[in-house]
Amino acid sequence: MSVIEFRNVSVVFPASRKTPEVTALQSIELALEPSDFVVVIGRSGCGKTTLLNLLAGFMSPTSGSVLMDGSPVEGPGVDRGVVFQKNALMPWLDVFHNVALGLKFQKVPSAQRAQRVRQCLDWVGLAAFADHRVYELSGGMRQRVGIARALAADPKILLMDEPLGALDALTRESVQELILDLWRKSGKLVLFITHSIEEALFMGTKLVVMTPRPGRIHKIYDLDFCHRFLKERDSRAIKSDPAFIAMREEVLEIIHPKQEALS
Amino acid sequence: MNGQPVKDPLNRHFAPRTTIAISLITTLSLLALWWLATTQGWVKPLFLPSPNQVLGKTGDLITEGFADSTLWQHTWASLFRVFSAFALACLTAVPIGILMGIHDLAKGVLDPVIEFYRPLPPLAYLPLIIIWLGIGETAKIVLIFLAVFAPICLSTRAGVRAVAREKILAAATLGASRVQIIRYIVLPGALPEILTGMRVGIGFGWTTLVAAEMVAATAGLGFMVLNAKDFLATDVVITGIFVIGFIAYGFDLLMRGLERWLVPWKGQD
Repeated sequence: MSVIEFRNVSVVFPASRKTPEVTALQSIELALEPSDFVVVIGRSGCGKTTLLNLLAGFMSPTSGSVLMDGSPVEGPGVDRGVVFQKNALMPWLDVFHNVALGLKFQKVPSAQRAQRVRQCLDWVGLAAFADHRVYELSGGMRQRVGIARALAADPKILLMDEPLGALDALTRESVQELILDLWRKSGKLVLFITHSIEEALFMGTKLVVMTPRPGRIHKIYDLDFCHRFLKERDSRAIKSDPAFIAMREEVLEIIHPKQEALS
Repeated sequence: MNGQPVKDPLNRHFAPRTTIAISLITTLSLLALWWLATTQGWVKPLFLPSPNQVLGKTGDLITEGFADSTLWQHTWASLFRVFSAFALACLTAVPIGILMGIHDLAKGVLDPVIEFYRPLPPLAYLPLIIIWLGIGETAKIVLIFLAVFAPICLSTRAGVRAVAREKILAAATLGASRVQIIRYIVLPGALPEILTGMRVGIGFGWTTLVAAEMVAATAGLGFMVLNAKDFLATDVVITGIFVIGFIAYGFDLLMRGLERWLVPWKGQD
């Protein structure tokens, strides 16, 4: 059975004084299986973040329904962890207490809490930074704190909204690999939003390509490059593989058709 | 460029030490000018007594006092008024500001009230407060309280609004209840602006002190200054001004230290 189902979901933002009515999502049908790594890609305005917001419970659809384990999503919940692009860590807390936040809210006893936090920090390679202030960390480290914090609450699925968008290329690749390792280790369903085609192809088992105005799913691909990486651990070989490059051109053509790029 | 760093386009290149030196030189120059103007007879002592005379008078005020109270008693009376009003304002303005920041109804109800009275000069509504509350201690503290309340309340509200949406959503996905979000996310997130509001607020408190002590006070720095004016005791007036200035400045430094200690992350997020 699918963990997540979008059934004929549409989201329409009503017109305001300054902007006309916008159809952010139109007739979305999507089913996600346990342990999928689903990457959603598309140009800005294609509704990919709206898709994630629906699943996170930050907003509700105008029509249709979003189901998790068969029941409609109603508001945010600990079964769906979210990693944001920025601004989501608490600068008044050190790394340890940021990661412990969810366990604290759920009143997990402190001994158990500490053990769990150490484990999650270890997973993201930040065990030595537990007592650092988050604003002292680099962008890549901050995102790893965000990932550890989401994992600490042990959600059923992990939602990532362009988590690597603000990172430099080298840091970005290392965090990509970290996320894949964590995904394999935890076996959680991941929904990952990005606007980088390479990142999308490299990481996903399922690629959802969206097009804007109105936001629609254009095509869904099944991918295998991430499994190959987890076996061979050679990202450069994968990214220069002719199959990878051909795929990249195909997706690029959907997102950025050549004649349109000229106009 | 000879290996020199490029100059800041706004020329903000003074080291802190340089700034302190400049401030010190300014202060000393003004004191020297004061001393020169009075000893050379450029200004009559009635209008501006010499530094020596003021210093001597300060000594007299400490030992003998003025208008039946020593300088300490005047200072204590004013400190008590300003800080009771400040404490009362902190206890009320922070919760109300938070409420206004998270609740549109509270904002809608309270916004016009606060925005209306905030720019009014305290002297304008002092008569009303006297009619309502009499001429006792309560009226004085309430007048100062009103002046302190608005800036703390409004900056708390602004601080709450400035907490990034992502932080609140993140807390919600981590299972935080409404109360937990306010206690653990909104309150610390708004703390930098709350502290700024307190610093601005206490400044307004000192500004309002003299107005508060205009009516039926028997002690207080504001009262002392006003009373001294009636006797043309310019040296007492100047001493009073200096004491108020030093206390207000000292407290401002204290609050800045508190900010550095409590919110070292300010502006770093």
